[in-house]
Amino acid sequence: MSARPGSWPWLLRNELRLSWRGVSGGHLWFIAFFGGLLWLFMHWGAWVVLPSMLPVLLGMLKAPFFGGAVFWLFATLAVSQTTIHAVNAFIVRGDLDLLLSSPLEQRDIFLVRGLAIALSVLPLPAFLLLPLAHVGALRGFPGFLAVYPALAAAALGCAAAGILLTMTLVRLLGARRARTAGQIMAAAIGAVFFLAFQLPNMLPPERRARMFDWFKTAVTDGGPLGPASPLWWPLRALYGEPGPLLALALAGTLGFWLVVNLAYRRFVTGTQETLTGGGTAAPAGPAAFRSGLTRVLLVKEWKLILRDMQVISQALLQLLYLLPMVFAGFSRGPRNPVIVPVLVAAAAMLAGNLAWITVNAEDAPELMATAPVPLARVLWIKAAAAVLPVLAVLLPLAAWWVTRSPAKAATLLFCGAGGMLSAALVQVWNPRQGKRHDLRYRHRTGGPASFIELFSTVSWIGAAVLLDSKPVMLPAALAGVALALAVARRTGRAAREDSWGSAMKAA
Amino acid sequence: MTTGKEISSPALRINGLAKSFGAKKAVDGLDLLVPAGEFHALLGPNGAGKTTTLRMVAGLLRADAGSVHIYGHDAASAAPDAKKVTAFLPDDPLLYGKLTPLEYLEFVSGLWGVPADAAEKRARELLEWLELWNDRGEYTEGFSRGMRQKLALAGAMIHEPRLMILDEPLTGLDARAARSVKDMLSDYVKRGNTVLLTTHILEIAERLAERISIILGGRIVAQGTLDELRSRAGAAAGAGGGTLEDVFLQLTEPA
Repeated sequence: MSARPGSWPWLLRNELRLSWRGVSGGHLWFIAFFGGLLWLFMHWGAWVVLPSMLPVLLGMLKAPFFGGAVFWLFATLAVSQTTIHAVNAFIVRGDLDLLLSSPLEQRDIFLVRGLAIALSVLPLPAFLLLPLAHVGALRGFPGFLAVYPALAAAALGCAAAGILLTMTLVRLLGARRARTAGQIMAAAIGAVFFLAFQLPNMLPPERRARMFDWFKTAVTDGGPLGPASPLWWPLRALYGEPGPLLALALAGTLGFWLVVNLAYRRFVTGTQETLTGGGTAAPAGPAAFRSGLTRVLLVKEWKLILRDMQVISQALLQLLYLLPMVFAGFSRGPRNPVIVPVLVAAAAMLAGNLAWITVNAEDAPELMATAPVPLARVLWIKAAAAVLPVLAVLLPLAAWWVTRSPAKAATLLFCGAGGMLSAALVQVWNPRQGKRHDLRYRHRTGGPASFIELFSTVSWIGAAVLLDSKPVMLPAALAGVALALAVARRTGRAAREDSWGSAMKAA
Repeated sequence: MTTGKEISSPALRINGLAKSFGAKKAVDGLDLLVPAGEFHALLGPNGAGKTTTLRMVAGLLRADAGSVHIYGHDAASAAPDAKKVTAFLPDDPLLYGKLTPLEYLEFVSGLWGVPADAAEKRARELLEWLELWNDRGEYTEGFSRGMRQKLALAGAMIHEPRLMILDEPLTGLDARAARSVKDMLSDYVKRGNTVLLTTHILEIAERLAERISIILGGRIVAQGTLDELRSRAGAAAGAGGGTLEDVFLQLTEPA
C-alpha cells in the first residue's frame, strides 16, 4: 500500500529513501540480504549463549553502573550522530526551499525530518539487542521485548537533543557557522568520552587513588551512582521495568513532541533568515597594505586557516586523541619516555595537515599560476606558513625543558623540527590539488605522498625513542627519514613539473 | 617599467599553437597577431578552442607546440616578464572566501609586486568604481556571482596590466555593472592598453572590438574588422552581409 502523496508517511518514505541511498551507496539488496542473514545467525547465537549469560544480564539490575554507563555512552554517541544528521537535514542538504514552498504542512516537514533523524540512530542498537530480546522472550522473559519501546523512546529523545543542539547553534552562530560547529561538536563528543576513559591514566597516582575511593562510595546503595539512581532508569527500561519504561517513553516522546511542535516555526524562520541573510562581517581589514610576496603570502595563508573553523577542527581533532599521553607525560615530567615521541608525532601530524592545506588546498590556483613569481618560491613560503606556527608552540616548550632535562629538550627540538620539516617537504615535492574541507580525507586521496609522510613521521618518532634509549641505533631511524624524503622527491617529480597545471584543468 | 622591446612589439603574437587532450585536438596550429592598443575579440562556438587558447596564453596550460609572445616576451622561456604585463580573468574566477575584498586586493598586489601605498590607493579607486567599497569588510564567501566577478576584475586591474585576457568577463553581471565594465574596457584600450576577450554576447564584440577573430576547430577561420568580416561573409553568401550574428553563424556553420 502506498502512502498518499503529500502526506507525512509519504514524506517519511522519501526521507528514508534518501538517507538509505546515502548509506548503502546503491548496494541496497546486497546489504539487506547479508545483513538479514547475519541477523538470523545472531538469533541462533543468542539462543545458544543466553542461558549462560542470563545471570550476568540479570545481575546488571543489582549493580547497574557498568550497563548504565554503556547506555549513556551509546546515547551520547547517538546525540552526536543526530546532531550531524540534524545539521545535514536542516542546513547542508539545502532542500528546505523546495519543501517550504510546497503546500505541505510545515509541521509535517519538521516532524518527518525529526523522525528520520531518530530512525537513523536505531539500526545498530536494534541489530545488536533485538536478537537477545526475541530469544529472551522465547525463553520465558517477555519483559525483554520492552527493548522495542525503550529503544524507540531513546531514539526520539536523542533526535530531540540533536535537533535542539542544532537549533541552539543556529540561533547563536547563524546557519553557516552552526554547520561547522555542529560537526565539530559531534566529533568532540566522541573524543570527550575517549578522554574521559583515559582520565585515570592522566592523573597523578595519589589523585587516581582518591578518585577510586570516591567511586567505591558512590556506587553503593544510597550513593549518587547507586543502584536506585534515576541515572540507570533507561537501563531498567530496557529490561521492561514498568516505571522506568514509562518514564523513558514519556521523556523521549514528550521531548520530541515539544521540539517538533514548539520549535519548528522558530527553527525554520531562523534558519531561512540566516541562510538568506547578508554576508559575514570580517575582522577589520588591513590598516595599511603590506608589501612583499613572503609577507602577503604568509599573512594570507594564516588568515585563511584561522578563519576557517572547519579546517581548524579537522587539523586539530586528529591530535585530540594524543592528549591523554601528553597529559600523562606532563604529569610525570619531561623524563617520561612517552612524552617526546608523542610531541614529535603531534608536531609532524599538525605540520603535515597545515602543509597540505597551504600547499595543496589553494583556493585560487589560477591566480597563483598567472602571477609573475616562481612557483617554487611560492611553495616554499607556503610550507613555511605551515611549519612556523607549530614551531612557535614547540620552541617555548623546549625552552621550558632546557633547565629540567636538556637532553630531552634537544631531542624534542631535533626530532620535532625534523618531523615537521619532513612532513612539509613531502607536500612541497608532491603538490596535488585538493579542497581545504577535504583535509580529513587527505590520507585516503593523497596517493603515495600520504604513505611517505607517514613513514617519515614514524621514522622521526623512532629517532626520538632511540635517542632516549639506544642512541647508537639512531642512524637506522635517520636512514628511514632519508629514504622517505628521497622517495618523495623522486615520486613527486611529475607532479612538480606539471605544478598547478593539472589541478587547474580539473578546476 | 616599460622596456624598448615591449614598445616595439605587438601585444600578443601566437604562432602555430597546438594543444591536444588525448585524441582530441583542442587547438590546432593557431596563429594570431594582436597589435598593442587593440581591442580584440575571439569568437567561436562551444568547444572551438577559445578558452584553451586563452589559458595557454596566460600560462595556465602548457602548449604541445607553437609559441606565445606577450609584448615581446616569450611566455614559456620568460614567463615572469610576460606575466608582469598581463592579467587573466577566467570565466568563473576563484576567490578566497575568507578574505575581504581589501585583503584580496592586498594579496594580489603582493603577487604582482605593486608597492603597498600605490596598491592601497588603487584598491580603493577600483572598489569604489565597481561599487564594492561598502562591502570591503565582508568575506567574499557571501558575495553574489556578479560581485565576485567584479572583485576578480579589480584584482586583474590592480597592477595596471598592459594586456588583459578576459574569458567571458560579463558573465553574471547585472546591466549596470556590465555597462560600467564595458566602459572601463573601452577607456582602458584608449589609454594604449590591449584587450583580448572571448564572449558569447556578440553585441559586445560588435560594439567594442576593433578586430575580431573567429575560431573553429582550434584554428582561426576568419579575422578582420567587422566590415571586413561582413564583406567576406557577404561575398561567400552572394549577399551584402548583415549583423555580426549573421556573419558568425555563416562562418561557423558546420560543413
